[in-house]
Amino acid sequence: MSIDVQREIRFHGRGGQGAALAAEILAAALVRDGSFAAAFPMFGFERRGAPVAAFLRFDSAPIRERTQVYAPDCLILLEPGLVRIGGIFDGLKPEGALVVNGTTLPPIPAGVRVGLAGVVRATAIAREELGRPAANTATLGAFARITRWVSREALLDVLPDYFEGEALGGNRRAVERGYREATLVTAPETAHAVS
Amino acid sequence: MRTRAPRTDGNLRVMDGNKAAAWGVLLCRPDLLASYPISPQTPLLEQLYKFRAEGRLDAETVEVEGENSALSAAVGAVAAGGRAFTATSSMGLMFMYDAYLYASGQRVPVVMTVATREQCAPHTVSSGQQDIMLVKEGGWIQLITESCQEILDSILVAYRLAEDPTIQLPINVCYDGYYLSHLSEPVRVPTQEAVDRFLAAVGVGKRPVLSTDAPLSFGAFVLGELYAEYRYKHCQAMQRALDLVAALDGEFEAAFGRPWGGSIETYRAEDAEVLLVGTGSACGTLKVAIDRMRAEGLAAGLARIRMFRPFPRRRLAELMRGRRAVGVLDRSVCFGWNAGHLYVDVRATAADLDARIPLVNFVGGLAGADLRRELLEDAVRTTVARGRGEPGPEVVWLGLG
Repeated sequence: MSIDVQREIRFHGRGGQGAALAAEILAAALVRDGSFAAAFPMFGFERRGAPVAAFLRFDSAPIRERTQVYAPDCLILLEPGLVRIGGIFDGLKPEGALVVNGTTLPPIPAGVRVGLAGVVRATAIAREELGRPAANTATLGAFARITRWVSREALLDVLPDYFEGEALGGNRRAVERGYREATLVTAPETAHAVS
Repeated sequence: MRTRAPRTDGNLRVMDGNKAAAWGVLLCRPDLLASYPISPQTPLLEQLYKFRAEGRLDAETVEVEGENSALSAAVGAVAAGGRAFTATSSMGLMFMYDAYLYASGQRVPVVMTVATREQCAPHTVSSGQQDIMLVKEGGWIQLITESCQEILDSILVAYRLAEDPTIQLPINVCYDGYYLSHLSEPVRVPTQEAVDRFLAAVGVGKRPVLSTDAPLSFGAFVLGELYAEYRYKHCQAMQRALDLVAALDGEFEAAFGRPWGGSIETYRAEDAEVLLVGTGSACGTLKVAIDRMRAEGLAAGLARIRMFRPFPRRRLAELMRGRRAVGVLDRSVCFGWNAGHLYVDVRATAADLDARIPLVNFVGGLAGADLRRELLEDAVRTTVARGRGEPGPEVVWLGLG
């Protein structure tokens, strides 16, 4: 797809879920679709289970910013339980998009206006297809379905650059299932608003 | 200039800075990889070992017990006529300091990348430029990059420059730790044929090497005036590198279609009332900040220092001439001057100008502190204000109250 203004995405997850790799794969897929893109992970202490974030920008012009994302157009929550520690929704643009690994949306803070939201059981898909809870690729499949900002074909096309053998097959199925099984959730700000 | 990503020539891949560096090294066909693969090393070496395992890279590898040995092994291989590569970062660079000085003093053209990071203490592993600033007077050429593409391209230029018979000096290709080392973006990988042609001017048989047929000594014991002669010639070679990097930039553009600007890349500088000076990845954000400040009527431009050592003093002085103010962005601290390292160089350069120009230094981005666009817009505004005579501190610590 072609866009006129730069879009920014912020991933939140826990170490081991593959948030950093998800951002990298999505950047590659967006470039395959004809955009410019740049992605990088938050630089903290690398350990499984620790909260992690990753940042992505894409545009029809080269990306020059080398900074974190403070006003995302979309949040991708690999671990929605992180909303308990706060700050997850900071800066989300009005009517921004929300892609959540789970069956329901997490509580959305008052004043946050989500325009588009969807859920996918990405951890369950990953356990079934990969044998481990790496929710990243199933969530990317859901992201493609919910936002339409990247094509499913591009996601599938770039996977061989990141996986091989059984893992490649498993992640292909995870992307496909994430795409197919994603569910749009309407009017989340009214349905789930908390004070 | 809204265009689609160009996909016509070469091979466009999305990769991070470490992989871009590995591709650059692969294309230069090194004979030896010398490595200490443990932290603070980067995944760059893993990628090179992968290339080797896949049969794409025909290089000897030597894993050693520390960074000092890694560089020493590379120095030996290059003195013997080979092309060698090693990489380091942060405390690893400090740990190879005596080998670092041997490499330059012996005029051995090693290419070594540095994923630039802070120094301890306080303990940190985060991004910054303090490591390369601490070795800036070690007699190496230092190139500092802004993008993953520039990392790859600079490695090609680095071998060409280092091995040139009129230069024969080791080179650091520096890229900001994490902000580039782990930034994934599109990079065009040139063809091997084009790189071979670009590097054909240097290589085996084109510079003095260790040989039993024509014995030479590298790093012999030297006293007094002969020592001074070595130093004098070293300094002359450093100055020649300033001219050669400009010439190579033209040649590189002809071969690969990408000009980089030689020692300094300028951005919207021609009609700028104030000039910002910086290095590395933050200059990408600074360009966006300058665009936004231009939209508000502030005529700012940028001089991005690509070749930090030797320092492009004359060219920078020309760029500074006639500006109302100059603002310098540093991601390092020069304790002796209570300022940033780049600022000290810019301040010295200002002495070459007839008129006094207000100078202001912005120190930020230490230990991975994010240089947000808003901070850099403030830096542009502050520089403009100084040009209009508003008083303020000489050094502004970005993000500190």
